[in-house]
Amino acid sequence: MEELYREHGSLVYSLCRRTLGPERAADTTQEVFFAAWKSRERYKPDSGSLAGWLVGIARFKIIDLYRVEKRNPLAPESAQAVDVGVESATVEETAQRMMIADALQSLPERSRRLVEHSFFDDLTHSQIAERYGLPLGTVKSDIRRGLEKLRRHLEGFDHATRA
Amino acid sequence: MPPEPDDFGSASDQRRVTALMSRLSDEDFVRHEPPPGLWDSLSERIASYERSTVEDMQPPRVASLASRRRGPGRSTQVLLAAAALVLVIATGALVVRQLGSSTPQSVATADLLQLEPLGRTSASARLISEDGTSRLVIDAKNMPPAPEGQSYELWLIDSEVTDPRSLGVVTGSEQVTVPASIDPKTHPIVDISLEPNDGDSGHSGHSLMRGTLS
Repeated sequence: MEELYREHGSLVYSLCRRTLGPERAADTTQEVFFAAWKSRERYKPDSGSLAGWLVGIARFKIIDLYRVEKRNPLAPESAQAVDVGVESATVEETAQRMMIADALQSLPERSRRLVEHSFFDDLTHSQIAERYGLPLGTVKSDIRRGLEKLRRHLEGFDHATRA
Repeated sequence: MPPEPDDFGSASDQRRVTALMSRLSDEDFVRHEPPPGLWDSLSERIASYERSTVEDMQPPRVASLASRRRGPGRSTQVLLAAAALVLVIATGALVVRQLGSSTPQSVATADLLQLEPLGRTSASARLISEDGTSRLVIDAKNMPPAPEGQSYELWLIDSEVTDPRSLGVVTGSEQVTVPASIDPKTHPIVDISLEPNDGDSGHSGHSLMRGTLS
């Protein structure tokens, strides 16, 4: 569990901090990891990455907190004015983008650049191979491995449940 | 240009990642380290949970307070409340008879921390011992009336947060007698929750403020 926390604590805490603010980020981060620990038997490595699964749990915790605040008569007016539907969609989107960013950052530098080229530049794999002076097979396998990592993060996210 | 089709398992995965990648911003890459001590706090919570599970030799009684919302219906609740009132009156009469022989002592206190942003509302608790009985004194500030159809309820909860015991409905600053069946040493957490008036005597899981007597 400690290894999991050391590896992914920053991602989960950063998401909580960005969506809830620094005051509530620490408590919510603890809730996420405690929930993950309690439901650890539900995690299946075949169903996506641990990082994605954790971010998926965090997403539920954050959205639940928004809903609680919306019902809470003591919450500041600003919290009660929150449109939970809009906020939930924003949390979902932000969580997935931060997860994709996390996957990109974890790739070796060359793989990351190749994946970004495949998305953002109007270049085929052959053109990327030519630009970097790499064998076409190397470019294809680098990109495939990189995208596989992104896909596993999203799968883990999708398999997370309200723990 | 999106990646070539054979890079992904499915077209929908490809569309999803393409959409997310196109909206990435610098902020998505910003990372903050969790505050120091968070892991210690988490590991202690896990250890505590494990200890309680081993002691019980059975699955934890509840995973969250919200799941405790099963209890007697409204009629049973009214009967229990009436019985509790009789008990309180009887106990009160006994205490009144015995008063004068002992000085109240504050044996523990707790600042109740907001579990959600509560504006200017604040509260603290004092456990008073006198003649073998305990009272919990709640000092609440800026606590507005509960909304229609809901109430604030005071609880003492065990350290593993698995066994909330109600001390009744509160509206702000209050003094309540702690029944002999509840030991503040095993149930040191003072909790104020928001409860719908739905006849369910269990904790709603919606805690507003909480602190630990020490």
